[in-house]
Amino acid sequence: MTERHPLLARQLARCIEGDVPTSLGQLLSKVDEAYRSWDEERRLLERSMEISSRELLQVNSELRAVLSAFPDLFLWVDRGGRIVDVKVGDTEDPFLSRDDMVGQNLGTLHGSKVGQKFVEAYERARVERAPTGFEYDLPGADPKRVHDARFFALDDDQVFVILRDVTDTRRVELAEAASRAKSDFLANMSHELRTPLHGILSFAGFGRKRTARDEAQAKLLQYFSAIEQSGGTLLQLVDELLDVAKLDSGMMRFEFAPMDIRDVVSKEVDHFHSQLSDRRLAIEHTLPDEPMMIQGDAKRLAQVVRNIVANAIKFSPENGRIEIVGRALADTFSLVVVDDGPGIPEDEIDDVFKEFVQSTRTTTGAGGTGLGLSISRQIVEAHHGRIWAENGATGARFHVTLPPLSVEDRQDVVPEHARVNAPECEQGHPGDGEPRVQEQKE
Amino acid sequence: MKSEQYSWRQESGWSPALPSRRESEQLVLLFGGGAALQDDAAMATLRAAFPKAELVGCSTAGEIFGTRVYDDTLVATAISFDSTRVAVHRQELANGEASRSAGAKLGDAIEPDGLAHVFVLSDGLLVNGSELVAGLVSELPAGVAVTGGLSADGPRFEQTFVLDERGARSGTVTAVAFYGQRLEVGYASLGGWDTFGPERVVTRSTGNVLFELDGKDALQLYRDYLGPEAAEGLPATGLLFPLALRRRSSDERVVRTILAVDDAACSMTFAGDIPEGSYAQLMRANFDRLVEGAGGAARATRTEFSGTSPDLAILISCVGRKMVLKQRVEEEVEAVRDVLGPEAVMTGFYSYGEISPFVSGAPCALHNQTMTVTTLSER
Repeated sequence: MTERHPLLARQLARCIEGDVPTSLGQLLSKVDEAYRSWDEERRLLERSMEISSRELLQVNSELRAVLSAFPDLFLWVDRGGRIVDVKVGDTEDPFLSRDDMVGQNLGTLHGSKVGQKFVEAYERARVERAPTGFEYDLPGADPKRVHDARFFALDDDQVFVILRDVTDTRRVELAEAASRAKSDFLANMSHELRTPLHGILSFAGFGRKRTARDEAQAKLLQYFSAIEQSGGTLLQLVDELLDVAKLDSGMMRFEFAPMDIRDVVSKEVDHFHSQLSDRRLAIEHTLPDEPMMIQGDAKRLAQVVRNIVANAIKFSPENGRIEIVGRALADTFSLVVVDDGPGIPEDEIDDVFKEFVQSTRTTTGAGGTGLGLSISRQIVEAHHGRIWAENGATGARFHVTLPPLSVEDRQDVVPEHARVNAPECEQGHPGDGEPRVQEQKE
Repeated sequence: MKSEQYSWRQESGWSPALPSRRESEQLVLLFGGGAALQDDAAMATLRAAFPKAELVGCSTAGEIFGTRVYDDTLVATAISFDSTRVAVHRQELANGEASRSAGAKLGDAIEPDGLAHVFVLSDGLLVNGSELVAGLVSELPAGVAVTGGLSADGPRFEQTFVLDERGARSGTVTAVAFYGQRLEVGYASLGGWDTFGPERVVTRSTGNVLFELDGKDALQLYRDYLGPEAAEGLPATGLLFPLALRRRSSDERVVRTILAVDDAACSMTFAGDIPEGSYAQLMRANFDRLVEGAGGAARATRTEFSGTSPDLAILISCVGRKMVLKQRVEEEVEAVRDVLGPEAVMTGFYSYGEISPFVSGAPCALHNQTMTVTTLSER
């Protein structure tokens, strides 16, 4: 027979003198079994308590570690409105230290006026069992600091308060709103400016044509030409302003279609021929024989080529030479425009693509708004391409890379000859093979 | 409706003596130890006594006879209905993955017209109980409840049996379909376990197999809590710490109990799904609440009736409760008796999983660690 449970053995020794009656054998074995199972139960309970306490402690410290990663100030407030625990914030803390805050009443924070709002929000969170909060200006802070207070009721009737300094966030939001307002204003103003400009240009052109027939009015012809030229320059500036405003406000709409970038380059180079002859500049372009098909907005990409080539012309000396090279690389199409001007000062190479920034060498007489390259960068990036500048051996080099048309998109492309001859085709103007670009309403 | 009960022991046979041949009984419920169910002589005598009755039953971790709980015996309850008709359907389980389709096939076989209730008994180890119930319920008419349980193998978790025409077999599910307008059925399921310790995320699981909680080995967690001695008794000792499972978006909890451990794979198999991403918390028994829970389940069945005792109560309680209550296990059965009154005939068994809606009208589900009470009466 196995030994009796020690407690049962002791009890029997104390209470029964001599041998234990055999008639009690079955009862005693059941009692013995119960004692042993209670022992097991006790050990299990003690072990569970020990491990569980350790785990809860770990969860607690993990939670505090997570909370400490937040820059906010956290307060635990009991059902009487008393602050029972604090996690201080990372930001410059306008509050008392943790030890000073614990035990204080919530209503005493920040003086009576803001303190009263704290108490009201605390009550609201408890009654409504829903998060609540408000923003307030920190009393006495100079410069002004805005704080956000949020209140959450916890299960045990405590309230958890999060205090966050939102001054910088609000400042950024205000700046963004001002920027949006500026863009809207620019867009509206540019629109308003264009209307009278068109009037001036139309009548200047009209006058010039009339006076051209009369030798006696040669002086007047000169005046009309001057008005027309100045008006044209002004219109270009206004157009650039309008583009910047649209790009900044995200309202620029692109009309993407499969297109051959070589067509755009050739066409734009042709447009510059008259200016080149005036200044005795030479321009050469080398393009691959194979089409350089991309998914692009032909009108906007023409604007990019125009901007870069105009820029090269602007900085080129008399008898200078401009070279445009197009190449199909492994996974990209590359266009490089090289001039033999003065180049860009090294510390300005990244800035020339920013709005309203011009190379200091522009002041040498090249002129412009400083918007063309910024617009070009935004257009190229909208095509998932890259644009950058560097200095070559003789002058500046502007690089543009664009992703080629994917194989799937390529299969949808109507061949050039088919497009030209198809009168109902919406991809291009009949006869010129150029992709149709829906005119922007301006 | 009339029910009579008989018990069988290896040493003394059937008691009270079985009738030599009685044809008025339509259904005999038989719960017993795995070895006892395979005693050919005992089974042959029983079948001969009630030749017209459907014999339905399974192996257990304890049989309930009135307010007594026995081990390794047979408890038979022979039922003759006044007007209720019963139809029995059986389905083989291929393996755990096929549980849903086995349930659906079984449900499909049940004639829906006039169906009042379905009572189901399944193999307790070769099944994903949640899937079986989901498949079965999907093929049944709305409003028909399913109650029942998973058969058991004492604290051994080796092989369970469900009766079919040929005898006790593994890998089988049996459903009893009850038809008749006069049959009144009550059912409820209650636990009485408390959660404790931190809530953990199920970070790795497949179906009803759990690998990791909070990115750590779940089996090792159980070993730590049980201690080296009790850990030797896994999977049975795992019943002391069932898991309360809560889906990410819900406050509702289901309880899952352990069926098997795989030391090589460091995994634990539970009686129902343990979805990844759900929250799990260990539970432990609260002695008084277990007993209260049993009484509470009995009370919940009575909301359907007008105060009189039901004719028959089938109690299916979890083996985990028996392991905790030990010598006091009968206290939970007595708590049911106190609620149902002295006239109700009570049978049932300790199981590896209970099937029931929590309360009337709730969706049917697999539960673990609960006391599930199904009451039947003809009015």
